[in-house]
Amino acid sequence: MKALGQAALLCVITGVAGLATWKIKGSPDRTVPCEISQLKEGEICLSTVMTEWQNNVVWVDARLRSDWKKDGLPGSLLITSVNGENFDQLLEQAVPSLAEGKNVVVYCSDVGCGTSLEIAKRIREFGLAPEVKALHGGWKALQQAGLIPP
Amino acid sequence: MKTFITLVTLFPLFAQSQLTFDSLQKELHAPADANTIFCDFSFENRSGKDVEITRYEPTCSCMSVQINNNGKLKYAPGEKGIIRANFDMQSYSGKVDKLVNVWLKGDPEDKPSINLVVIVNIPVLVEISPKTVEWSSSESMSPKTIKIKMTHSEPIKVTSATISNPIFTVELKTINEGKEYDLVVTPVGKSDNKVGIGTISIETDCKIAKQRRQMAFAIVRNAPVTSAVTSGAQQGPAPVAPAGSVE
Repeated sequence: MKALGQAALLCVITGVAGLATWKIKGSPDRTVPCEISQLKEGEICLSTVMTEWQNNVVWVDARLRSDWKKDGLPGSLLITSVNGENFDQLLEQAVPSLAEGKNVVVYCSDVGCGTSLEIAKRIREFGLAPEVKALHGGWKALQQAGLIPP
Repeated sequence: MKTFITLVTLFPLFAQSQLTFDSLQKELHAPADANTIFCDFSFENRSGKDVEITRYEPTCSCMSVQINNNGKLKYAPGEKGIIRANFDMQSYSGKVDKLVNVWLKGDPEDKPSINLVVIVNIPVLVEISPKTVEWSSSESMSPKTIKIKMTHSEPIKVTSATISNPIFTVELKTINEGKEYDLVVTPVGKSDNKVGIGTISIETDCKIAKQRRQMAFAIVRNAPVTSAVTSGAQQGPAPVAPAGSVE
């Protein structure tokens, strides 16, 4: 019983400390964490895109067409193979933009989605852009960084 | 206090329930004409308590996932099961990696505790190299060659090769009928109007429908401007077109 009382006391103290931290430091950082050392081959962190590439890139959305239409990054191109989409046809339509000489960043829904890595690899095979990378964290990283309009 | 600290220390051990898999990554070699392939991941509950699978999903609509025993989700200690990933290969060739995420009870929404990787090798019967030939508008518009090589045991003939933009011509040369071809691409536009992109369509008589048509590109880019010109150039974000511009 004594242990439970102590547990309750610790919970109260922790709660107060958390509330105080929130008040002083503001809301927690909800951006998708990205450790460069832990990236998979072909991936890139959003911070690298924004700083080193200065966001001067062509964005490719590899999610479902309906998702791209609903909340895709403004200016992004749809290139995907999911849900029966014709990759070759979408790539052909996007070639004028992909061949502008800018780097290309492909995103799918979130950290585990995997489609962006595959689409980036397929675009890379055509050698149209200097670099083609998949965004670590995908659309979720863009959204949490405030790049997707509400 | 000692009792409390002991409880707090031991809690993660009790909370950590795991399924043990025969392998978390499997590599398959599919025949070129297969449309679907499946991959089984066997698992066993080797923990001391019940384990519940709360969610399982592939990361691609090209896959479906099933659990044997009519989709049984709760596993008592010692119980075994199989997660089967079915992969629809219709639009794929080459080496393809796919992921199946499995959430156990207590896993955070964005962090499944089990990631199963399926690597499928689908033979590439028609190899195109390079897939893009390009020129700078300032350089000589000399012909460039795309190599087409058939890797199938049976001959595959190129039946036609066309390019979408009239500023280029393509000429197909047979090196070894059914095995090897050269496609010679030449920009023919006038010097003041030769920047452009052409899509090259290479049609073959390959029996595997998804590999019958191959695509490559020809590009003449504007010559890079000199540093004296770029020094005053405006830098900024990419021009923004509304999402939905590609239909």
